[in-house]
Amino acid sequence: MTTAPSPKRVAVFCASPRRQGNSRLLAEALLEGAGEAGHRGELVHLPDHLTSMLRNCRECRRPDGECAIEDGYRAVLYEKFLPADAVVFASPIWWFGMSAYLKTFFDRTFCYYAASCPDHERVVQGMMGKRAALLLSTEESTIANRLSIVTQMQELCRYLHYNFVGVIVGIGNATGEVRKDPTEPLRAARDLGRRLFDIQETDYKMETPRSTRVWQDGNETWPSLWR
Amino acid sequence: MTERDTKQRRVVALSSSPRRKGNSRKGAEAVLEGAAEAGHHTELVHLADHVTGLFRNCRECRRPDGECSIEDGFRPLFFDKVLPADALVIATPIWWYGMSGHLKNFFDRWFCYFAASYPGQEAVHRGLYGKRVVVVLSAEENNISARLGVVQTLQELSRYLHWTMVGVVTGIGNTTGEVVNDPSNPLSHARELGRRIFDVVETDYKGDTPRSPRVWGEGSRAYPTTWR
Repeated sequence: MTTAPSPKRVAVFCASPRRQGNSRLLAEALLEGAGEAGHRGELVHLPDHLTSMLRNCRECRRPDGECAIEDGYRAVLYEKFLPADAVVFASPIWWFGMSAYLKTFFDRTFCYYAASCPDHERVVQGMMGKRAALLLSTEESTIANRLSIVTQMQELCRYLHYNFVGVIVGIGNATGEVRKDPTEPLRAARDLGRRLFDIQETDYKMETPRSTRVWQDGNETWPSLWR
Repeated sequence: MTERDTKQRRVVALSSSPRRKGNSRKGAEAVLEGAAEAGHHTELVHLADHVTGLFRNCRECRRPDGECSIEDGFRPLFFDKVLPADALVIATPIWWYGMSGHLKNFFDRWFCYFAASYPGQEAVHRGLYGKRVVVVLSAEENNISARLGVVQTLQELSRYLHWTMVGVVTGIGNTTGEVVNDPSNPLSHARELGRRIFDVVETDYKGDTPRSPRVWGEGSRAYPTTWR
């Protein structure tokens, strides 16, 4: 190697309209950790960029193949999401699922990866094979209220060949209250940010060749976590 | 209980795909056909026609009189159709392993009126509680895990609001209206679910709930909830 490797790009998508809310604090903590590890982190406040939900592409796609919805979505997709090596999604749990901002962010990828978009091959290629993490804030501590969103993200990660490195949950409701959560989710988020590219997620099929020992030399990376 | 019980029962379907002839919409229409056959009052709402604004931060955008300042059709939809409904038919395509953003945003927007900072909060709570709900899904993929997340969300929401989750019907299809070719006949199941939308008994016990040891005894003949 003659040149230093370029820093990895970490894009964190914040899906609450609150700028000082709990999921946003988790996002900032993760970015601090990623910065400490030498990565290039970036926070995207989704409500600043998205003003509309997905429509029916057959009715509203422009003649040149572009999406007709005029807001900042295209720039977020092309400049932040596609080039990122790791994507982190920070959402409050509302009604037992992710916020509509985050859901809309995923829904609107369709305008660009669909075959009717001239650029779709590049978009599909850019969407695949990243590292992903999920940061959740929630009022309720019951595990059941976060199962849906984790299941959904797990499936999405499988579909896109993502390495799903972790889920951090902070309990809180009033603005910034997650700081008081005694399980210290902010510290966990920071730690996750630091080792975002070290974590090895395992997801075998029966016939996958592997050692019988899980913890051995050369396999010392931390596993994905959910806490 | 509420004034809802004394009138002809109202079944409102919320169709949350932008497509007007799509697969989940066809499922919702089939549920409503069955409900109409059973004598109920039915109505279908195309969500994308009514709700165009994404939920914001109520502390920044609530009007001085306590109303939501987002100017679209959410308010009349919510107060005139959703709150008075005895049963809701919630129809969504599965996109990215979850409900459509239109549907999620519809729920998120409830907060403006559900929150303590809205003067009419109590009436809103009363209106939201205790409904029956049928879930209609359409999905390109037939693997079960693709639909687990959305069912989980709606199950939790139903518990929270003391709703009876009557059933889940999934039609497999992708191109417009293709669900009619699904050999498991989801549309006929949807219609049947609509017919018995007020007869289904959902059981959800705690360890100390008094009950007979027989599940299928006298007085327990109502169909159970279904997921198919």
